[in-house]
Parts: sequence; structure tokens; C-alpha cells
Amino acid sequence: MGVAIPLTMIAASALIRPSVPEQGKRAVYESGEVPTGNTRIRFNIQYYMVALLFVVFDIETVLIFPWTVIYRDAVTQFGLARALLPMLGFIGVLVVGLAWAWRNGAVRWVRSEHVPGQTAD
Amino acid sequence: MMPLQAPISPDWLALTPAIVLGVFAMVLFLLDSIDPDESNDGLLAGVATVGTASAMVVAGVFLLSGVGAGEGVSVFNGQLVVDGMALFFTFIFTSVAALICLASIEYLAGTDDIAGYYSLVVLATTGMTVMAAANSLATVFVSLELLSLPSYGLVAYLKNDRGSVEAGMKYFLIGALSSAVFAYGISLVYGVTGSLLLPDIASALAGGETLANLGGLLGVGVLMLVGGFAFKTASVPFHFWAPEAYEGAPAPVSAFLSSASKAAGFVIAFRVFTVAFPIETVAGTIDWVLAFQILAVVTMTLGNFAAATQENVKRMLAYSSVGHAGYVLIGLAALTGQGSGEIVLGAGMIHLLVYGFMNTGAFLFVAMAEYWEVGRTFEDYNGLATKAPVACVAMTVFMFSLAGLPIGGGFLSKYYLFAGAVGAGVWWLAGVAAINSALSLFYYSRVVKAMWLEEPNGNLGGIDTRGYPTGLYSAVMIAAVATVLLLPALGVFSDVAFEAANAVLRLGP
Amino acid sequence: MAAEGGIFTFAPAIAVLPFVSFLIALSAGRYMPKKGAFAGIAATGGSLLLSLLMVAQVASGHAHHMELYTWVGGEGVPFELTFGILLDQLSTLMLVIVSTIAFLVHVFSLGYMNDEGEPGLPRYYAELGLFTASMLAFVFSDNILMAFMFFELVGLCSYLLIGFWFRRSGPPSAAKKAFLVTRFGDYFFLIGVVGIFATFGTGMFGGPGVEESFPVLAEEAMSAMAAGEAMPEAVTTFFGLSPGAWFGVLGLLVLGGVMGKSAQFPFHTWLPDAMEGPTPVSALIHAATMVAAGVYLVARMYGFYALLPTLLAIIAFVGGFTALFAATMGVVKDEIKQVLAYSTISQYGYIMLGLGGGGYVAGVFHLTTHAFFKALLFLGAGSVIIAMHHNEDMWEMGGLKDRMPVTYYAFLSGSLALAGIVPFSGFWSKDEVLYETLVHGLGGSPILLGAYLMGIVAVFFTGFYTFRMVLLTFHGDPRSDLAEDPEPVRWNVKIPLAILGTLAAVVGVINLVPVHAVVGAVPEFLHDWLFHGPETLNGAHYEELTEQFAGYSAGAIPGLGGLGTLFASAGVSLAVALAGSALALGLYRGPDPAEHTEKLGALKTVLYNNYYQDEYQVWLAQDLTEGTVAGTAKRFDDGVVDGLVNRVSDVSLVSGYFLRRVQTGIVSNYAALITLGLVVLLVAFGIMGGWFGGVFA
Repeated sequence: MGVAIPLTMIAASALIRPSVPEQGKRAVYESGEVPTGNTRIRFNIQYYMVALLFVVFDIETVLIFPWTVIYRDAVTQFGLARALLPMLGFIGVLVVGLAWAWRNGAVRWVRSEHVPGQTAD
Repeated sequence: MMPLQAPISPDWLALTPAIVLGVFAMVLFLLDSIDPDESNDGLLAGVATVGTASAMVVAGVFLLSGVGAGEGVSVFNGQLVVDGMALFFTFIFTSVAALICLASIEYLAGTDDIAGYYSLVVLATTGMTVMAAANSLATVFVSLELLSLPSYGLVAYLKNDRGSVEAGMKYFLIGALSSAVFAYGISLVYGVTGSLLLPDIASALAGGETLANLGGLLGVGVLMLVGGFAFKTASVPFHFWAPEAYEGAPAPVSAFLSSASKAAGFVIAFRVFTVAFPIETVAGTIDWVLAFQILAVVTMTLGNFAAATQENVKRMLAYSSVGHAGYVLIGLAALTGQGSGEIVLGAGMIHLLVYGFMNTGAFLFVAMAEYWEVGRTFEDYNGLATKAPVACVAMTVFMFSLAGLPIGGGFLSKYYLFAGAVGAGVWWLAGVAAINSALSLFYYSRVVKAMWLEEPNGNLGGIDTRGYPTGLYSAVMIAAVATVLLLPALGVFSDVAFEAANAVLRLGP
Repeated sequence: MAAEGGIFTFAPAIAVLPFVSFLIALSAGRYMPKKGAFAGIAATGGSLLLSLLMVAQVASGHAHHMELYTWVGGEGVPFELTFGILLDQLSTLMLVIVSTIAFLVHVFSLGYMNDEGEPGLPRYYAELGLFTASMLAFVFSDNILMAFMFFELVGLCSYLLIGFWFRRSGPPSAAKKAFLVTRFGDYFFLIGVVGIFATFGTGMFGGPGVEESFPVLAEEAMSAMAAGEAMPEAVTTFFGLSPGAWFGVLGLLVLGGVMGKSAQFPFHTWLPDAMEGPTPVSALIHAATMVAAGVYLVARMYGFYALLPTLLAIIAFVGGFTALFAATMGVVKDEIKQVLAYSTISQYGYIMLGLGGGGYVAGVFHLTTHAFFKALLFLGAGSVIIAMHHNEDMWEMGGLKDRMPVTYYAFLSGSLALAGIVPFSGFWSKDEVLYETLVHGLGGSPILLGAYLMGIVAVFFTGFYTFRMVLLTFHGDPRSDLAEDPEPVRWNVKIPLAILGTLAAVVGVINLVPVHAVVGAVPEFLHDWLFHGPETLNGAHYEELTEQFAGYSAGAIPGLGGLGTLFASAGVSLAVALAGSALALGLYRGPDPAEHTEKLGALKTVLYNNYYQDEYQVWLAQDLTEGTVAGTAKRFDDGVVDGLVNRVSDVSLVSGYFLRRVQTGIVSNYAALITLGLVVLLVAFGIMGGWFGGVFA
């Protein structure tokens, strides 16, 4: 029964609803912005590199934030070492990763010669 | 949950193998950061090999010194548990990874970003190690991803090779789908039981009340978890990525994925199903033993039949690897409550151990053939023994051991599996497996026949011009010796495996 | 166990010594003076000495069992897999036989291989050493799994040695055939081994200090069932079969391996082809020892077979039929080794007949005598072949009697034994086999009389082909230049021949049953020896078992009594053997015998083509594939490898085609299929588990 009810409802509404095609209904919804161009743009690969690095640090922030809130209490309760060292280790891992990515040129912005006009930066 | 007396103190030291691996991954990054353009191949390979090998030694020492005995060491409030099974599988993963690192030196010569390769291998191994110890669906998922993400990168590692990139892409897409299914399954299970910790899930289900009310939901969740594991273990119907990923990926990576990564999928499946969903409790709602029986039969049959029709050796190995996943699934499919569960489960573990060596060795031999540029099909291997007899002996050992002839450990581990299945009253499963084994002998022996009995096609010049790749060659030899030695020495490991299986099974109900 | 270790602690060395010689020959053979031969001779000599010591020890004390190595086991594992040594009357006897012949064959090889300047000698001696080691280890195995493993190893060595001259066209193909046919039987054996472990939880044969052995457990189960009690807990049967029926299935499975290895009908086709190997190898492996492994296994687990009358009858019939069948084929062969090959098949048929007919001692006795006289005949043939520069056609020979007297007299001694002429060893043992079958047949198991009849008819053919062979080879005038001027053979050929010639003549002394019946003072050594085996492993126990479970009891020819029957049986078999020999003498005597086989007309063609055995097996393998038996029937012959692969790939091509269609390479198809698969699983399990509530219920 649980499956049948929504199916009948969808079918019923499909049958009885009016069909009014209109330009505005088919437009891309961009949170209120007026869309320009079509959706099939090729992003520059370097955009993803930066985005990935961003995500990493985004998550880092999310983790550090609650940690800072309880930091003082944690130090008094467990001592400095147990409160601070794990976070330092965590950040240390990220730093190693960032340093490596940096040294390998992940953040070096190179303008692509091959596909002019197709960057979305 | 806490053991009476911790065999190691402080608790987290039990995670040493994982920590060692993590640290070595960092070291690799740091080394490469010093001068990314001028990487020292030998040094990087050496560091990676030393790292994985030392993790292996630590795991072995822990295993033999009884660190994980009994219920094991519970870490981080039960999120991770280091017990016999975790250490046993850690040993498998790290030994395979060490072989891979050793074997990759020559294979990768001339490619970019070698440090990235090794650090991905080491990171993936770290993920597996954590997976082996994961005791909560959350850690299961996180470690699964820690394994998966590097794997995608590794498959696509040969950036200028279309096959490699395509395989990586497919692997990634299917992986994303499976992860989604898996995560959904986790959320359903959490919704029903209110816990992510495996033992807590079991106790939530124990009363029977939850099952009566929300059984359907749990069933869907459990089947979705099955799907997630089926992806990692390359079992039907989640196996589609496997042949293409194994064929496209660099051969050492194929070896890594088909041996270690598969074993990682199994360890997690073993633990989740035996600990969180004891079959006695959930049989009425979701008979996962039956599900695994179906998967096992379909997987081994499909894998072996497909392997029999291949012309490409690497692809044949890929399908045979699917077939072997089917055999190991017996480890779960025969937990019928009849007979001795620890034999069945332990047999699965042992088979994965032996498989780790023989399958890795076989893929590495393919890597060597690729290095010599002899080609990929059976015909291309014709007469290889005239030029490289010792390596061909090793390959023969792998092939026959994979087929289950008593020349390597593969014979015994299969024997355990079949005997376990018969003991559990599912003799038909053993029968299907035996038929499949017999069939597999034919396509394995095709390789042997090509190497030893056929006349060379004149494509073996690469052996003379390129010589023997030292690292690769020694890795193949180590794997061959290990495969053969595991026949008489399996006793050492089988005791450990049966004990570990027993411990896991006792945790459940 | 440990208390009476003593000399027994050296038992493992019996097999280890030849293994060491294998390693030496393999690694350093090419640097050694005789390419590793001396290492082999020393090792087998050492094994022989040790085996004799073991016999002495077993004779003075009692049997011994020791466990060497547990490779699978421990708490929680329902069964242990171990390596162990069982030294009892039967195994020590066999150890002596094997090591004696191995020793002599090593010596003979000096003449056959080294003096002929064959290449690849280190390989030859290495393989010979490995074979000897495996065979000896097989003989003293204390459990069936260990036996199986070494059984396979001897098969492998046989394969390697048959194919020793792998650059010629014949040997590799013969080797492959031998390997495949015996492997085919071994598949059943393997399933049988697994079945035995699953049924009894142990694969032990028994012996002192062994708590559980499967023959004893089987006996307990059968007794319990007969008495209407519950089965012992240790025994589990499958498929809902009664213990009797299930044990029968197990016995048949193991018998598959036995028949393959001992070349019993219909698995005999590999043995004549195996003659492509070097002749010393034929003597060692394909006459005296490896082929004996099959029947030895039956003797080893006789306590199991003795419980099952149907199986005993099958064994007896297979044996009797093989004896007759192979003997008729031997009649028309032209090559000396071919005649010997068929006679080997035939003689192993007799041993099977003896074992199946309830004559445990008789079977073992014939095994012993046959090992000696057949090794002798092969070595004799080898000597002839050296002399004839590797020409094996008997029609090219003739008149070798005067040119190589040592070979002739030794060969004659073996031939008389083979034909079963009194007082040579073969007479005593063959007669006992037939006698045991006869009396058990008369005593309430009339079905055995049929097998007996086949056996007695085969005696005639045996006598005929034996003397045909002797006459064609050694008598008459030389029929070719080679035979005019044969190459001389050296001491290393003559000494083994002389030793074996003597043994073949006198070894029958160990069990002079008819003499014992008249003169009680003449002991039946072998009978007493085997009857004093360890508990549950001795002849007396087996006799009880066959009587209790198979209903075997000794009968007599009406009006003659026990003694009369004994002599009647001996007289009949001797008379038949003499008749066969006399016919051969009549036909082939004279300086230039004619090919009388032409007179057989169409029958000759049939015999010459071995009753079209190979053809029908090829037909089975290639044409009869539409049916479901395809996969199994096809392994019989050379076409097998390719044939079966093709057949399997035919089946799998269809599925492979389907699989390839599925494996499109398009990732969205995969995703769709995965989702579909998952949904199918979900729906199926949902319906089964009742997750959808009322909708489907």
C-alpha cells in the first residue's frame, strides 16, 4: 500500500493537471540570478585543484572550530599534551600535503594555450 | 568490551602498523617536496618498501605475540578494534604492498610523479589497515574511502595511456555509485538500530523487537551494505569495474587491487556481518547467508567462465580474480550455523593470504612481460620459458596454485574452504566451487602451455635488450617462494586464522 | 611411541635419502663422474639397508607408528592433517621391494643410460631419485591424505620420466596421456579423500597408538547398523545414505585412483604407451612400483574394503576381466616391451582379483613376486634392447640365447615365473590368488566364480604370450644383422639381472601354501608375517571382516575336501599354464618361426588394435560430447587437452558472448546493471523476508 498511494497520486496529478509550456519554466534556476550562456562550459582543470585544496581547508576549519571552543576546558581536564598534540598532528598532516601540492605546482596558475575563451575563471 | 588486561599499553600503540604506514606516507611527501622535479626513484621505492615491510613486521610480531588475542584491543571507545583478524589482514595487506613497492621501480621508470605513486600505495595500505580494525560503520566508511580514493588515482596513474585513464574513470564512477549505496545502507541501519558501533548494533537487534518493527528497513540497509562490499571485493553484480580497471591499470596496481584491496573488502564484510548481524538473530528478516550463497555461486561461475574465453592474459587474471572472490565468499556463505563457523571463516582468511601472494605474483609476472614488451595475449607468451625459465617456473607455480593443485598454498586453502562448506552442510556450494576449480585449471594451464610448450613467435627480443628488472624479478621470486612455502607452513597461519575467526564469531551473539 | 624409538627414528631417512640424491643430481649432477648415478645408488642402497633393518625390527618387536609433522590442526579444527610414518608388516615388506628394485634399477641405468651416452643424465637421475623418494614415502604414509599427495608425486615423476626423451615425437604424447588418464582417476580419489575426512574426521589407516582410524570407525558404524544401534558419533554420512551405501561410494571414489594408477580396465590404455620411456624406468615405475601403488592402497585400507561385499566383487571382477583382457592383447604384440606392458596390466589384474576375492595375503604375495619377476623381465628386455641398438621388434631378433647367456637365463627365469610354471615364484602366488578366489566363490559367494573363470582362462594366454616372447627373442636363427652381432652388455647390466633372476626363481619360498598343507613343517612365512600385523591391520582381522560383512567363507569342490581343492586348483592352473606354453612352443619353435597371428584373421586386427580401446576412448572423448558426460568422458586421450578446452569454451563461448555483451565498456550501462542487480536482490529478499507487509503477502 505504501508504494501504491504515491504512485496513484502522481498518476492522477499527471492526468488532470493543465499543461502550459512557457519560456520561464524551462530556464535554468540559478538562485535568482539571470542565467547567461549555456550549462556546457568546460572549466579549467586548475579550478578543481584550487577547489580541492579549498575543500580540505574548509573541513579543517570545521574541525578546528569546535576544538577551539573546548580547548581551555580540555587543557585543564586532560593537560596540554592530550588537548593540543592531536590537533597539531592533524594540521601537520595537512601542512605536509599542502607543501607537497605547492611544490608540485598545484597552485601555480598557468593559462592554457589550447582552449582560449573556454576558461571560467 | 574492554579486555581484562590490555596486552599492550597504551592502547593506541596497537595501531602501530597503521601509524607506521601513515608516517611513511608523510615522509614520501616530504621527500618529494624537497625537489619535485628530480625525484630519486630508488630512494622513493626504498622508503615505500621499507615502510610497508616494517608495518608488516610489526603486524607479524603483534600477531605472534598475542597482542590481538581474544577480543583484541579496543581503541577510541570501540571505534577501532585490533584483534587477531585485524592483524592477520594487516599482514596480508602490508606484505602485498611491500611486494608492489619493490616491483614498481622498473615498471615506473620514465613516468612522472613517482612519489605520488608510492605515497598513494602507502596511503591506500593505511586505509586497508584501518579497515581491518574498523569496528563501527563510521570508521568502516571513512577507511573504505581512504582506500578507494588513492586506488582511483593509482588506476589512472599512467596519464598518457588511454586505457589507464579510462579505467580509472570507470572505476571512480562505479566506486562513487557503490559508495553512495553503501552510505545509504549505513544510514538505514543506523536509523533502525540507533548505533554505528557494530557490537551495539548487534545488541540493539538482539531483543527481536526492533526486527519485528523495522525489519524491512534493516533488510534494505543490510543488502545495501552487501552491495558496498561486493564492489570492493569485485563480486557480481558489482564486478563490472574489475576487468577493465585491472586491465587498464599498471600491472603492479592491478596486483595491488586484486589482492590487497579485495582482501580489505572481505575483512570488513567478515567483521560487519558476523559481529553486527549475527545470522541467528536476523535470519528471519534478512538471510544474508543466502544472499552470499547466491553471490558466491554467481560470482565464481561468471568469473571462471568469462576467464576461460579471454585471449588477453591480464584480462584472464582479472576475471579469475572475480572467480576467486566467489570462492572466498564461501567464507560468509557457509556460516549456516551448522558445522564449524570458524573453519569456514578462517578458511576464507587463509585463502586471501595465499591468494595475496600467488595472485600478486601472477600480475607482477604480467608486469614483467609488459616490461619486456612481449605483448598481452596468450600467443605472445609462447616460448617465454626459453628465454626466462626461472620466471616461468614462478609463473607456473602461481598458475597451478591458483588452480588449486598441490604445488602451492592455494591447494590447502581451497581445501579448507571446500571442507568448511561441506561441514556446514552446503555441499552443493563446494560442488560448484570444485567444478569451477576444474574449469579454471584449463585456462591457467593455457598460460603454462604457452610458456613451456609452444615455439616462440619472435617477440621476445625485449628480454635481451632490456634485461632483467631487478626489483620486479625479485618480487616475483619472493611471491613464488612464499606461495610454495605456504603449502607446508600454512599450519602456522591457519592456527592464527582459525583462532582469529573464532574470536570474531564469539563476539557476535 | 617415543619409548621404543630406537632404530625407528631413522625411518624417515628411507625416503629422505633418495630425496637428497634428487637434490644432488639436480644441482651438482653434471659435475659428478657418473652424472649423479652414484648418489642415487648410494641413496637407494641406504634405503634398502634401512628398510631391511625396519623389517627386522618389525619382526622382532612390533609395528611402529610415529607422527612427524602436523601441518594443519589445533584446537577448534575438527580434523588434523599430519605427516606420519606407519611401519607395519605390509609397509615394511613393500619398502624392501621398492628399495631393492630402485637400487638395482639405478645400477642397471649405468649400463642402459650412461654407457649409451644419453644426454640429460643429471635430469634422469634426479627424477629417478625423486620418484624413489615419493614412492617410499607413499608406502609408509600413515594417512590417506599423505598417501594421496605422494601418489600424485609419483604420477608426476612418471610423467617426467616417460617424457624423458622429450625431443622425439612419441614420448611427450605418451607422457601426457599417462598423466591425464591417471589424473582422471585421481580426481575421484581426491573427492574420495575429502569424503573420507568429511565422513570420519580422520584419514588415518590405523596402527599402534592411533586412536581413530577410518577403517575401524567404518567397521564400528557397520556393526552398529547391523545390530540396529545408532551410528557412532564420529561418523557422518551424506545424502541420507546408509553407512553401507555411503562407504561404498567412498570406496568406489578411491578405487578410481587405484584403477588409474594400476592400469586397470578401462584406465589401462596409458600403460602400453608409457613404454616410450627409458626401459629402466619402465622396469621401476611401470612394472614394479608405481603401478603397484594402486593395489598397495587397496591392501593398505583393506580393512575398509573388507566391509563392503559389493566393492570386493567389483574389485575382483575388474581384476579378473583386466587379467584376461590384457593377456589376449599381449598375444599379438610384436615389440618386446609391448608384450611386457600388457602382461603387467594383466598381472595387476590378478592382484586385484586376489584382493577382491578375499585373498589379502594372496594379493600381497603376488604383488611381491610380480614386482621381482616383472622388474627382471623389463631389465632383461632392456639388456636385449641395448644389444639390439634400440630395436624392439621381436621379429628382428632371434637366436640371442647363445650370444647373451646371462640375459637369457635370467629372462627365462622371469618368464617361467610369469607363466606360472612350478616351482618358480609366479606359480605359487598366482595359484594362491586363484585358489583364494575359488574357495570363496565356492563358499557362498558364487559371483566370484565368474571372476575366477576369467582368471584361469587368462593363465592360458599368459603362458602363450610369455613363451612366444621368449622363443621369438632368444631362440631360432637370428633374423636380422643386428641380432647376428649384438652389442655386448657390461657387468652393470648383468649383475642386476642375475640378482633378480635368482629372486624371481626362489622368492615364492616365502609362501608355499600347497607344500605347507602337506608338510606342516614348511612354514608360510608371508602368511604368518601378515597375520601378525598390528591390531586391525593384520590378515587375521581382515579374514574376520570379510567373513562377517562380506559373507566370505572357504568352500571346497564337492567331494574333494579342503586339501583336495587346494591341489585341484594348483593342478588346474599349472595345467592351463603348461598348455598355453606348449602351444607357443609348438607354434614358434624352430629356426624360423612363422607369423601365426595371421591365422586369427579378423580377430588379429581386433587384438592388434587393443579391442579398439584407444579408438573408443577417443570416440568417447571427441564424438560423444553432446551428452552431459562430455566433460568427464573426454579426458581419456591425447586429444583431451585441446578437445576439452574446446568443448568447455563452446559452452563458455555462449556464456562468454553473453558476458561480453554485458561488459560493454560503457560505464553508464554498468551503473544501470548494478542498480538493477541490487534492486532484484532487494525485491527477492524483501518478498522472502516479508518486508513489504501486506502488498505481496
